[in-house]
Amino acid sequence: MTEPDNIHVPTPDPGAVAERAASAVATTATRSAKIVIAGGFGVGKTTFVGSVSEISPLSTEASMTSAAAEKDDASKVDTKMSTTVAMDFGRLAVGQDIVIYLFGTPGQSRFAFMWDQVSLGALGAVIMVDTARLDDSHAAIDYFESKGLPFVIATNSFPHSPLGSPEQVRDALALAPHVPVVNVDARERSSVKQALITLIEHLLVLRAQAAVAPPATALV
Amino acid sequence: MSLPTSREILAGETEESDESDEIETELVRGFMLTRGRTRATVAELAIETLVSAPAGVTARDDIRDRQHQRVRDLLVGPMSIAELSAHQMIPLPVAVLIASEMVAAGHLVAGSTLGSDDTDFLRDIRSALQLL
Repeated sequence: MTEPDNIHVPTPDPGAVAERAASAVATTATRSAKIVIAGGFGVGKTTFVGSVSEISPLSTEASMTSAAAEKDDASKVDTKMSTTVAMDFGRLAVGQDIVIYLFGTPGQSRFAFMWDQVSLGALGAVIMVDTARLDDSHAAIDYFESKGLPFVIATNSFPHSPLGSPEQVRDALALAPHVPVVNVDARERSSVKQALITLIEHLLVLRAQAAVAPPATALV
Repeated sequence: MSLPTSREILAGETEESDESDEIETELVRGFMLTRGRTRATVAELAIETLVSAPAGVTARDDIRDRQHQRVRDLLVGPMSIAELSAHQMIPLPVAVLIASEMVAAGHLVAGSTLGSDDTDFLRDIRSALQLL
């Protein structure tokens, strides 16, 4: 096959490529996993990811129809109509040979086209919630529930948002009793770290319950 | 010098683009980079999959597709498909398609992905997070 004549592909300078790639690749790991960070625009997904990521969050265009990305811009809350959508993500090394990726994903239903690719095979999700805009989180909650992907709710600490107890948030979002609800300050590494630990412990509890539950085939 | 974006490629531009915060809305459709395909002809890899050049293989003479060559050139160590997408500024589904086909062709090797059904792995993550 040949390239179309009107497309000129410049040969990247090998030195520059190697330099850039070296800064991007600080791992010799071969095993990886991912966690989804879902939530509406401006809720703090990228801040959350950046607080624990060992690289500055990268941005990728999530749709097939465009080759460039627009920023996930809080100024565009409620007005963004474009079909292009950026997904920011970060990276976290676990031990010597495993890398965890954290993908920040818009939570509104009009971005559902990208959820399958992001959530398939994910360990679980952190759904970030602004208590002033609870409605933004319903679509993501419904989606992860329908896919059976475990999640925790993290209410981000905003000055303008009402402080609610975890129980109040649980009631307002009609969450199942076993779903953890935590408050998080997305700017604080220790806070984000704790939210992720809560998710992992939730997954471990679910694994333990699955292990002791009788096999479905044994049920009459 | 930054890596050429698909917009620059299509425009035939090789000069460095200015580092503006505003990225213009793209006019180039992603499938232009994949010869019109929107789905891979092979099983699609997950976006977190780490891909790397096969050990001991440095030649890329047998890679005919220039987009594939550019991906191959970028990889000096394992890198996730998502990072490939971000660094080359190609849409994520396009990066998935290209990487999946390169793995199927033997031009890249793919690492394994881990799920939440591995209890030991979950404990390892928890320990690592606690040490952060």
